[in-house]
Amino acid sequence: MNLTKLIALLLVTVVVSAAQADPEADRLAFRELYQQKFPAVDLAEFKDGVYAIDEKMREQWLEMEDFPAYEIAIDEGEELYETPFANGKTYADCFGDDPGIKHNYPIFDESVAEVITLEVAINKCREDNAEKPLPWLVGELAEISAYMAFSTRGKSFDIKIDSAAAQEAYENGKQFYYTRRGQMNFECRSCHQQNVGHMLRAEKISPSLGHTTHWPVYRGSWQYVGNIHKRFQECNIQVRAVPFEAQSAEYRNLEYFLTYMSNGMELNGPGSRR
Amino acid sequence: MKKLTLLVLLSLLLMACGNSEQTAKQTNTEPAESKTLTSTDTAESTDIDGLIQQAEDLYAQSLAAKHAWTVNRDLLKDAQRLAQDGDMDQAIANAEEAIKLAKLALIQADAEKDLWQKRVPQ
Repeated sequence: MNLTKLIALLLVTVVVSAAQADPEADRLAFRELYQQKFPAVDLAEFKDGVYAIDEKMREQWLEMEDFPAYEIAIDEGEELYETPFANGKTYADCFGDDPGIKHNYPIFDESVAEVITLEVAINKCREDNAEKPLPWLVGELAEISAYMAFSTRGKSFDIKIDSAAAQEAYENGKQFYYTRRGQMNFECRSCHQQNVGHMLRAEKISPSLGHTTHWPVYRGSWQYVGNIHKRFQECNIQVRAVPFEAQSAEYRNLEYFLTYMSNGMELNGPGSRR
Repeated sequence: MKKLTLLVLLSLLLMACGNSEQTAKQTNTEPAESKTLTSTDTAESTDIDGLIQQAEDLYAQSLAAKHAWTVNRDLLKDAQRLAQDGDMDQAIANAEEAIKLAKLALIQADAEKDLWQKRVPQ
């Protein structure tokens, strides 16, 4: 290889590297932003969501956690998880003996070049075993997910971005997070970074760092346990944007990005919120 | 005398027929007037149909751009309903507002293609 070709190759490499974002640099900058806003809050505490940044709300939440409303969902999820399919197999045949695997999700499945959330994986397991898929947002799927989240408690997110296709999905999720939409012209960042900790009517706005650690969640306003895509839809509707379908590529990519931002953080789902 | 009586009766009969023809003519005029009114209605209806179609097309474009607004969708539905109910003035107002909002949503979609990158923390 002559010198001209070598220089050209180096230049191409530099240009391509500059165009591609580094997810790890994104994650560190993301964390830094919240550390600067809340210097008194330990990074690990952000797994508790808004209760990490408001002492009085935290006290109320800890009292709620003595008899959490999501407890029934965990029990029912466990029963569903262990009930054999018609073919005699169970979820354990798909996921292994330990249901505590939520810290690895979402994954990027290279074979289909798509982000696979835990809920998608659960329904895929059902379909692979000739069972009908469950509705995405609430009910049995959320209960199985709650049981798996509970079994994962104490483990830390270990989300991988190992290929150009995975990075593209991550970038799409990042773009979604920082894109203004709806008549209110809001991004996810508008509330969860720029106005984090401020009041929105009677609610304090939660930080995005740790947003995915505690799902699914029993919300007082719902009166049941639901998945994070239900909350994504609500956020979109609140800014007057037409929401996307649950488990759409848009929301799966957003979950992939958000979860990567919380990489290394401990899971403590399912959660309860007002 | 008989001839005279027959002549008078014939005249009366002809007069009666003439009156009845005149009445019939007047009766025909009324539907003609209401036909004119219906034409106006049709013209208004065509206008609102065109506006709703334009609003639907623009809303579909905002959906395809993944930037549709709920308020736009609601206005469009209301415009369709009001047009069906015959409240043309309000239907036109809603359709025009829906068109305006859909155009704004498309401007947002276009602007955000690049702007989002400036908001990523470095």
